[in-house]
Amino acid sequence: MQLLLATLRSRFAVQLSIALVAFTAVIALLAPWLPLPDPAAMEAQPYLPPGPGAWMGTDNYGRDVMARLVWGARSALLVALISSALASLLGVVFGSMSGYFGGVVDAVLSRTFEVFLLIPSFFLVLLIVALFGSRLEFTMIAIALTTWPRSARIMRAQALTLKSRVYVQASRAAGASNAHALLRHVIPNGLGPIVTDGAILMGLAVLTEAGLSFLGLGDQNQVSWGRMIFDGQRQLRIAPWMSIFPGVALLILVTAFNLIGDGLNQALNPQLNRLVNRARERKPAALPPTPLDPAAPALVVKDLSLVYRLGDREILAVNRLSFELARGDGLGVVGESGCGKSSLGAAILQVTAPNAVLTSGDVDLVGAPILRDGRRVTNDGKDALGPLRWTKAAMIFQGAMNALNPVMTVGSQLSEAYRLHKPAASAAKTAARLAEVFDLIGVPRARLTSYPHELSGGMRQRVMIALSLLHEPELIIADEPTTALDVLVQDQILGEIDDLRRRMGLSLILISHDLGAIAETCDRVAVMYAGEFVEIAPTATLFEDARHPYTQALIAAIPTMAGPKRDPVALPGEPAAAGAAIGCSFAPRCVRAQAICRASPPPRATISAEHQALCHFPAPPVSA
Amino acid sequence: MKPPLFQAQALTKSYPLRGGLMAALRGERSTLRAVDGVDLSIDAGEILALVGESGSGKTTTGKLVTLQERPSAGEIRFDGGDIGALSGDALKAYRRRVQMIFQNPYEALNPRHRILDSVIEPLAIHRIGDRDARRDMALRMLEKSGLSPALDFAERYPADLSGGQLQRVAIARALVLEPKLVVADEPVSMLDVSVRAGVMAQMLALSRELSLASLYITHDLAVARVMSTRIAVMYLGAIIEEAPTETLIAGAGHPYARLLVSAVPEHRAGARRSRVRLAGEASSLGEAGSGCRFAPRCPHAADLCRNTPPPRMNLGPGHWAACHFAEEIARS
Repeated sequence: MQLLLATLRSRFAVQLSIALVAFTAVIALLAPWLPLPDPAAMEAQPYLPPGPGAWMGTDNYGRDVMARLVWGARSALLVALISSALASLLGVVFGSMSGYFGGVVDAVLSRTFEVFLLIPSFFLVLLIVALFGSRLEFTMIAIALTTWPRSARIMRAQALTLKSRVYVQASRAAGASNAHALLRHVIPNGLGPIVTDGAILMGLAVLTEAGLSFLGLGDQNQVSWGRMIFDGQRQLRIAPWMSIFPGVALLILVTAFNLIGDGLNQALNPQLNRLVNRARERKPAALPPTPLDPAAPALVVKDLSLVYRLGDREILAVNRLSFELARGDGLGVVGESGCGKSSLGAAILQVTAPNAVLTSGDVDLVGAPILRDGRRVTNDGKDALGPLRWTKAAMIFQGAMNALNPVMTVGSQLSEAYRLHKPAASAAKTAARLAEVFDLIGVPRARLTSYPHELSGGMRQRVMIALSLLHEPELIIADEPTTALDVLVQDQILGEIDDLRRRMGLSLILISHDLGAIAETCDRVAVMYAGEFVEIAPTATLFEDARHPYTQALIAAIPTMAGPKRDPVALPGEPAAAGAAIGCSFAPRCVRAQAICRASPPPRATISAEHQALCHFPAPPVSA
Repeated sequence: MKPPLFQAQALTKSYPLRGGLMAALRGERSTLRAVDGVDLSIDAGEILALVGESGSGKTTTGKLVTLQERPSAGEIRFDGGDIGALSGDALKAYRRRVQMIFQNPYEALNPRHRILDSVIEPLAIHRIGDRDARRDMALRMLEKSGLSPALDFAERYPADLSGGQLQRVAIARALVLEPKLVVADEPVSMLDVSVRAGVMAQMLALSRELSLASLYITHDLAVARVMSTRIAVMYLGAIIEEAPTETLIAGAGHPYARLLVSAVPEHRAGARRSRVRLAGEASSLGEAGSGCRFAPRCPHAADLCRNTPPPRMNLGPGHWAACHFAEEIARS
């Protein structure tokens, strides 16, 4: 809640800043037509305090301070606009070339940026003023020349990442020239941070110009806030308004520019934006501590629902799901992207995204309640799941192998994790345990001293599995643990997981989009569609006698190696959203769908004690 | 006999390795041979699958074929002409006839461009047709790629499409120039299994319709089986076996190829395979020594393998394997 307010407040500040800059711009543009005295006319009485006739008073020559402030805004804004535009332009051109071409071009250009960064702007202006005289144009050029390397370095970094994007490569492979790729793909997609920084550059330019004028290096023919402050500070005792008004104007304008830059950064950076969507945390449910029951199932999930909040929208990902996992049992959860399978894994161990809310459900882990009616359970004010995490249940995430810290050896990362739950463990005991888990997963002990980048993807994923095994958990939830890996490595790792499970009596939930990968590692398979288990059965039964048309379609889509060549059959359409349909959510893609399927939700059909399907017409597969 | 559409001989690509300061002072220069003497030939309309693990050099080979990278040595001929030294307009013309489909559909399209504009872009680059003609061609190609009705997709942005749909757009963009050869680098590996079948079927149908030749790069033999008529297996920069697809799956002669066949998970009833345990990981190319590059991991390796590079053993029509014991292994 606090965060939301803070974000709103900063949004309000941004809106106010935009309004202030716009107001200043309008006033400055209209200056010649506003009913103001000539800013240079020394007609009024000098040192007139603010009051009717001269709302901001007059200065030591009898010039109207308000008129001078308005005319000063003209030069401030002009400097801001021109010099930041010039700096950004130079930065985009040279920065994008430097990043895109790399090699010699990059070496030469990067050194050039550095040289320019070294020149102090005041020194450069002094030089220019000494050579060409002080004019506003020269000030603007001097400011641009000293600030453009900022933009250039941002653009270079952007181009470096963008040039390896597939669409840039594809454009080149289609025969596009470098200029085409740069102008059409790299620069437009890299401009975001340049725009953000441009606003901050504007503030910087206004400040630099004021500073220069304050030192008397500005254009003498232009009214400048810096010059006004300089003139005013000598009369501070007699006429404080002479410097206060331009000082405050300068402060407000520069702050406004910076706030706009900040606001743009937030708006353009989705990662910062996500904070806005953070869901309100539900009140925990306080329960007395339960002693762990060794006879209880590893996991009991009842009526679990998970919703994502996106702005005003609510997206249901897990829809009143229930199941039980016996100790030592292996359950595969299979489904297409977006069916809610990863959300389910995250919901069980309460490691959901910040904008996710568990709206219903009870979860018991090894007999201990950890979730009641969608609220996390606390025992005596302490999270019930906390002490169980890692020691009773561990999770292996998709792409987890990229989550290792690149500057620490895998051994030191593992020992850190080990001591998190066993702070008293001696160094020798920690080392022994690390060696043990490495042996378990088939990684040579010598690899403990390797850095992540020295290991292949398969090895790193094994290290992550070793990490999850550190505290001998009873349940492991593995979310696509082998998806990014080669078939050969995947086969090995799945084999190792299978082995471990049998040897250590682990319970396993293996989440994957690949039925083939699950088939050999799990005793039971649950097929997930639109947030529900539409079919659950022992693995062999599922492959031989699937009853739900979706399961049958998934099986038909797998290319096979054994037997005669059979072309995989495509599944038409796109996955449905959870909870959106009145009837069966698979009906729009189903070959067997009837009117009733679209009208009423399907019943849970029991084929055998272990085999259920959520379908109006659970028919055996048409034999091939 | 008609010469093949595409032919590469002894294709090699090496990258300089930074061996550190001391190595540089000693004047040592080490190189990494990502592709080491690869021969490839693809007939018009044929789909050749190039199968191997990450780091086998299959992606680099694809980049050499499309001239995104220049070979360090070797010869490439396309449609009878030597293309090794093409530049300027000739290179642009080659790019029109040889297109590429990439692995990652989520980065395949410029997020700021509408779908239709992405498909039009190659036509604009090659100045084919006027505005209306390009639009028509792009719409037709989207339709053929399975995005139907194309007008429903044309004005949308990449963020609105699913992975499978994005890859179909990428296919349309590659094929809109009517190339003769397409290099497809793992185009379905990032898609859900359920979506793969549809994309693969579409690619096959398009290849037949446009009599397109393809080099289909994948790590998954099951996918290669669906897509190709011939398979070349790559290991550490070299092709170690080549055969008609079904021949390779039924009776590979190289132990590494056999391993790849056995690694595909099988879900048929009672088909729990005996997993072959493989020692170690694909080592760096430097460790291969003078003998067979697979010898350090090979369950069949003998002294002969460690000392003498294996010859190409002929195992049947269009089927050879670079293994000393290929004949025995193929028969087993």
